[in-house]
Amino acid sequence: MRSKRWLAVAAAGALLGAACGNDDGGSAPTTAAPGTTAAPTTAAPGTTDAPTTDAPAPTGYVVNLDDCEDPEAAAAPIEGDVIIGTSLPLSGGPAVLFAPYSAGFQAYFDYINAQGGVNGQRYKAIVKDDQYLANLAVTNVEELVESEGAHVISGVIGSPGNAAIQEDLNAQCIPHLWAATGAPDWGAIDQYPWSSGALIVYEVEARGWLEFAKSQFPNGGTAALFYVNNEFGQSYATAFKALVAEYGFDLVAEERIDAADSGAPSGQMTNLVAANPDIILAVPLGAQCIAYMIEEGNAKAANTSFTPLTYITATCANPVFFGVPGPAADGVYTSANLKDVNNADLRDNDPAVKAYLEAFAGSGSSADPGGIAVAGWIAAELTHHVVEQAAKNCGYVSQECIINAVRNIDYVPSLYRDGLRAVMGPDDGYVAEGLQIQQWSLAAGGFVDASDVLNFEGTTGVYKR
Amino acid sequence: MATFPISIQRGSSQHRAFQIIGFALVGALLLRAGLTWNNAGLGKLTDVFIIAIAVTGLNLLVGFTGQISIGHSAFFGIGAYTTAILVKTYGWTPGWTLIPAVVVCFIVGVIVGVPALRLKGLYLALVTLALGVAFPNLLNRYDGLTGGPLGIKSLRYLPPDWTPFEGRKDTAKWMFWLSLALLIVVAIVASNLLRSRMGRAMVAVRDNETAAAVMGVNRALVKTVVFGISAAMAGLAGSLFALKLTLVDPMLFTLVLSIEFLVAMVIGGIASTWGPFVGAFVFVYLRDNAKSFGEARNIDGIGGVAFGALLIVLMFAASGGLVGLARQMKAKVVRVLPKVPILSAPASDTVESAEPGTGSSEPQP
Repeated sequence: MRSKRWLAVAAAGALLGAACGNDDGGSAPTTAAPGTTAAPTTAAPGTTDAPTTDAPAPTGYVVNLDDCEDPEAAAAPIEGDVIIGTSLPLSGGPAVLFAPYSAGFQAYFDYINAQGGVNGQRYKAIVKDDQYLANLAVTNVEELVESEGAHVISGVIGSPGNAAIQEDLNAQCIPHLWAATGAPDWGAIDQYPWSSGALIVYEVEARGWLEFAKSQFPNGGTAALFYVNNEFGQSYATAFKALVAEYGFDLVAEERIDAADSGAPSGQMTNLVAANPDIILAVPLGAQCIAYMIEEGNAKAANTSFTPLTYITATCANPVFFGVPGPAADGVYTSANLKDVNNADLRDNDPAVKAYLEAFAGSGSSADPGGIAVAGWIAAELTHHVVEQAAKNCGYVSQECIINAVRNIDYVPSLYRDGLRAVMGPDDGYVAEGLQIQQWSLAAGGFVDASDVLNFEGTTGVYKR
Repeated sequence: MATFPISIQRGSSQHRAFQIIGFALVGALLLRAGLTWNNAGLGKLTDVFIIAIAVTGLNLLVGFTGQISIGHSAFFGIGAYTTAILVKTYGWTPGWTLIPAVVVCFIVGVIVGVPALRLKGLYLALVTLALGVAFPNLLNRYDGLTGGPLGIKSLRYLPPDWTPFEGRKDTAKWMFWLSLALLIVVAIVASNLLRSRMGRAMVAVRDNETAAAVMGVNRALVKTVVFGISAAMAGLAGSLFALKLTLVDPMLFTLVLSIEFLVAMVIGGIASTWGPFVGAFVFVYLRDNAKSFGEARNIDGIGGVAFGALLIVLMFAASGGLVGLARQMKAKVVRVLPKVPILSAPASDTVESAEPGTGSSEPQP
């Protein structure tokens, strides 16, 4: 048959390889008492004056342009608008959780533009929808870079999409900033100097929960793990399993759920009840956060001896997700490194929270400012800060100056909790290495702080592949 | 003065001229795109070619043989993972992995086709549905081989030395021309298959299985082989997809992908050799433009709603697919008569066959 013809078309190519490894270390955290303000300079939202805490270039990390496809383009001053592109799940299942992130992201740049931008240069923020699919993230970023002329890609959500665009952006030397993931490999600054993560490092989160759990069970106990079976969940699971024994807990159950499974995790919960652990780390994704808490609430109601302390990851720390399960969410722990903008006291008295809410309202967005919009706002604020710092260090804004500012950042984002800072350097590839354990309280009608701020700054180092 | 529709005879010089003009026009447009578009534009067209390859295979199975599959995402994924595993685990050169991807998918397709010997319609659909549902879970389960939920990364197929392309920045151009070349090969294979004895047997099985058996058609052979060929084409597309995207993970091969293939096939027109290309083209650009519509308005989910609404409108306007609509419009201008008309007068009322040489190739209700 003539179908054999196609055989002639197969051709030779090349193979790229990479090996994995992790030399991240860990150590005991430093703690700051709740409410203490250890930060040197805190920038209010929209403030265009750069804080004074940045390490001046080039004494810190200096990016090597020799690896760029077009070093001259990376070093050239950006003329006109600074174009910031991002790719987010605006439709599809995960959009339930993530879509408001876009509103916060855009609101911040609108706010800064209203203040005059950076030395007269304004921002043009372009948001594209990837439905949390890696192939669409690639298409979006290609369009952003080549058709829209994006100078920076910032705040892309999800480990798969970020992983899919990382190599191309690093080859082109386009800053790939504040990826909304806390997976450990986002600290691989040797291999991917143009990329950085933004979320609390998953290892830090696992460590923070175990630190807190140890304070509740000084003599140790039993632990269980429930996680979504994708890159996100496995990153948490790997970190938790590596640390659990160090804190005196025995891992007695490990349950998984598929990323696309939107049903109640009944079978997994049966196994968790049978194991009856003292503590649980739950890592569901998106709407699974709600399903998990409801299922665990049902299990606790049916089995009075099943009373674990449950921690559900910070990606679920959203009043919407904790509100839907009702009593089932009462007492469940999570954590945050950002101020709780839903807290009535902070709304009334915290200048940064008040400024954020006012600015967000001014954007005209109908999204809830108290949800994940805050994370979008912070990604935009960090982006603005490094652009501003680039202009300050170099006298102009270029991609090279931006990434040097990123790699040497030492800044207090306006909505970071007191005592936490965004710091990176030649030996520090992670920007968010601190958190505060909080607990959902039906009586209080929201989250209440359950621990001091746990600061692991500098302990996770860099990631070696 | 010419009166419409103009009648021309199949195989005549006029007919050839129309065909050459048509091919030249499409070829010129693709050539222009390949030479002048940026990587983002070429990437989107490459997506079109890859989907068109998979839909061509699906069309052979569904459109021309009357079988049904809603598990083609699994064949597509098997092709992608075959390439990924061979490249990352066994160090193969990416281009050579296209061959085993096709072979593996052909074998799996034949095996899956066996139930088709006894099952029809929704029952067969259920079998293929099970395959589509099970596939991502199998990938997660056998993570030692597949990388589990993390998938396999860094699969870039850099342009070979013999091409005029060089390095990563030309990868999009290389993948564009490679995918286009393979789409042309697949279209030729499909076209020749349909003109062959096998093709006539496929249409016979689709139109009336009992009559086909009476006429001596080996139904078991036809069904299983077509399942295999269809799966092989999906596997080839999956292999290209993995090399273009540079990674694979289970979330990319869910049932949604199977549905997208079916949608593209229906948009283009079932049982049409041009349908898969037209359907894939319209599907990709409609989907992306609907997405852009949603992005521009910053309203959650509006892009998906717009895409769904456009599909409904499209199906009302062109219930036989866009190729069917184009044929209807073309018939008002030009009518292609069969090669050997029996009578000249009544022949002008003869309905042009959907595919040359296949007789009545439109599916029976």
